Amino acid sequence: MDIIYNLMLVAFMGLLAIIAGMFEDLESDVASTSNPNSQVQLAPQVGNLHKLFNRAVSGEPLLVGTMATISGAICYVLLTLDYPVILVLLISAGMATIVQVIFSISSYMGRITSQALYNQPLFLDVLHKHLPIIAAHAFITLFSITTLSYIMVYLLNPAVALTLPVVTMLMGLTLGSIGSAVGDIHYGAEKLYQSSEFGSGIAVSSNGNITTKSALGSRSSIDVVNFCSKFGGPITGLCFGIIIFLNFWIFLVFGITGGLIVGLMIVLLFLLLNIILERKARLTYGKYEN
Amino acid sequence: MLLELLISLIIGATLIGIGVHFIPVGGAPAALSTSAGIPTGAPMITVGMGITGILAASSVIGQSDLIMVLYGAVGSMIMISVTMFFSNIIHVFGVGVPLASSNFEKDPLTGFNQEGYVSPGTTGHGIPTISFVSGLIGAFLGGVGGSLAFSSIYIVLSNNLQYSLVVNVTIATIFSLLLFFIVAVMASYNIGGTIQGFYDEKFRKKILPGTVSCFLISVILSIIYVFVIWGLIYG
Amino acid sequence: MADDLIPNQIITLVTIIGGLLCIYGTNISILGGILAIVASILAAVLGTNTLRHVGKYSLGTGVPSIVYMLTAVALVSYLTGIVVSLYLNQTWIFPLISLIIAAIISLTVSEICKHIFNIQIEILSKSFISIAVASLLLMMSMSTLVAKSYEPSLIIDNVINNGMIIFIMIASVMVIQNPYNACMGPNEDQYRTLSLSVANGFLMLVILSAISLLTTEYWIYYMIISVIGWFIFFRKYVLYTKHQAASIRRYGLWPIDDGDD
Repeated sequence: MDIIYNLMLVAFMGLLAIIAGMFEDLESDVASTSNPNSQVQLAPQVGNLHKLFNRAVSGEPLLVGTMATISGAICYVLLTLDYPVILVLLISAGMATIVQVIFSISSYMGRITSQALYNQPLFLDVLHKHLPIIAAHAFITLFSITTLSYIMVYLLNPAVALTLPVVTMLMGLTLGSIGSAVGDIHYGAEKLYQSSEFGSGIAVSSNGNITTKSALGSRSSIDVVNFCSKFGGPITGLCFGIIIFLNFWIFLVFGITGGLIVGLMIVLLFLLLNIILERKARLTYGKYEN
Repeated sequence: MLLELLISLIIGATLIGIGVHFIPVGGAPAALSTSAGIPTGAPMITVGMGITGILAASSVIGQSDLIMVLYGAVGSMIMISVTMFFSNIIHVFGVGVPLASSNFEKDPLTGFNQEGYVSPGTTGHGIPTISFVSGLIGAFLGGVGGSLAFSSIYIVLSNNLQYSLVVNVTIATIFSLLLFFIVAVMASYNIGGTIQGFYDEKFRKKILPGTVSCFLISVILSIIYVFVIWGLIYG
Repeated sequence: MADDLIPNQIITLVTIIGGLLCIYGTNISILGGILAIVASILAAVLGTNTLRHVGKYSLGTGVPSIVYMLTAVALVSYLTGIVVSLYLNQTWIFPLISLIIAAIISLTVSEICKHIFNIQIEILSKSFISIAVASLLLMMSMSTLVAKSYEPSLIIDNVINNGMIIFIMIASVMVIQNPYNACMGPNEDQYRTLSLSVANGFLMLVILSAISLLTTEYWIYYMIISVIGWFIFFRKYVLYTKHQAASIRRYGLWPIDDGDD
């Protein structure tokens, strides 16, 4: 009975991780957080003024890690005071979301103002339009991470022997590094440079030449999140979900030594898949022409 | 006992530092398909990978040292392989570029020629097979190092302190996390931007000073750690 | 970057002396928490102001990495300080000895950077030391707010064993690195960056005082003080932004030519 209970919990954790990963990546797209933001940052310097959101709170891992830790710490305190669990999870995620929104406001204002030399105006409507969407995505992410960590610490049997703030920080940092390693490519290499040709990397010479106009008027980061939610976001979520699921699943099902062997086999399987992917891409796309 | 702890901490921290050099990192340009590698900074992907390893090691707590260390390594390897694979999926299907790097001419494992597949004006995109393998080696080293530090601290604490299991594991996790923070950043200062794994020319230039510096900083940190743990036990 | 209106030396001096004095005063019942708040704000200002100078140079990876490495160094020395003072049975030695150890370790790190990695930055050692010291003071004053005292045994029980130290660490990384990272650019200005730094410090102190409700009965006062402080300095930051931005628009497109309409 115990193993079925645990397996169901692990499957549920995988689901939560998928949601967290997906919305984390989309949040970083709508608020333009991570590495691709260097291009949004560069654009006014090469003469491309824009109406995209431009936020550099910190790297993505640190941002998500901090917010998740805030949420986890508040959650820990409220759980110690014996409040009902669902309420605690909602309150802690909500408070962390407020902090994240405040950081977003100050970072948008700061970066744009520091570019006054290039005549980049500070658009208040960009701020008003994007903040609710940032808040919504951030809330879903933080709620999922906090719930995931809550399951790990209090429900799993045997539980992860760590306190809640530590687990939320670990989860947040991991999720942030995955989100910046996977999903941001779709935003940086494709959506920001949509006016350049599909199927090639961005040459150094065209850095900063981002697409600033959309079908009607200026492009906003909400268009970006609309585009990225079709591929980049879900793939990031799947990646994080698979990692969380596999890490707990292998030793629950196959025992201690069996888990090690299966883990190694999974790693080799991904290596094989990667070779197949590389081969397929080369055959389909062929050499770079012209 | 404390001498064993010292030695395993030094070995663990140095392995973390060496492992960072193996991970193919592209930094911000890789997020634009301008350069090959994992599109994030070296310290953060290492911290993320190390954390997964520590979490995997802490989920088999109570087993022997070897099992914990191996679990840490496998956890890190799973994390890095899944991340690199999905990163490649976005490159291939989302951006529409084949995986190639101009830092070497031919991939020794698959025999694929790199030239001609790299779009002009860039130094590659995605993570080709040899860099993938290098990333796995890096994750193995980093995972072994992190979970070695974690498990040795945990075992010393649990044998000598009256704290509960949760407190011991929490302290051990915080200590090994700090090792990752310091050593990974030092190693990435040495790398200075992008690197494409052990088959890259840059790797040969960077690995020696990297190892020396990581060893130096690990000796200092390990002595302090042992002192702190000794103080926690006998203080 | 505009010229500094407040020199770094004065900030360093005031922070180290004032911060240490405030930390030594945290044993007083209700005033202690307020002193801890003052110390953390001073430390945040020192950290950000130093980062403004060293952040201009490229070290190979992002600006935040400097801060989280040095905060990790500071946390290691913080733990060492606790152990030393427990061993010697002298509580007063803890803040001072941690400060010295943090300076020593960060000096070693910067020497390794200089001689093995050949990073040629003149102010590297000085900046590393003062960022490590600033984050140490920030973490220490935040922990004293929660533990109500700088006594090591209380800190171990209330802050370290339940893992709250990890929140304090990552919050101090955020407070120190965020203002400079958020305001980086050619028109960065000291007053604006530092007002954001103080605002961020108060924001994290709001969360921290919510956490300290487990240990202290005065948490609500600390929270009110932090909220008021955050409001004042965030308003100041917005005012500076309004003065210094190229133009502020409520709607419409960017200017097409160089016209400053």
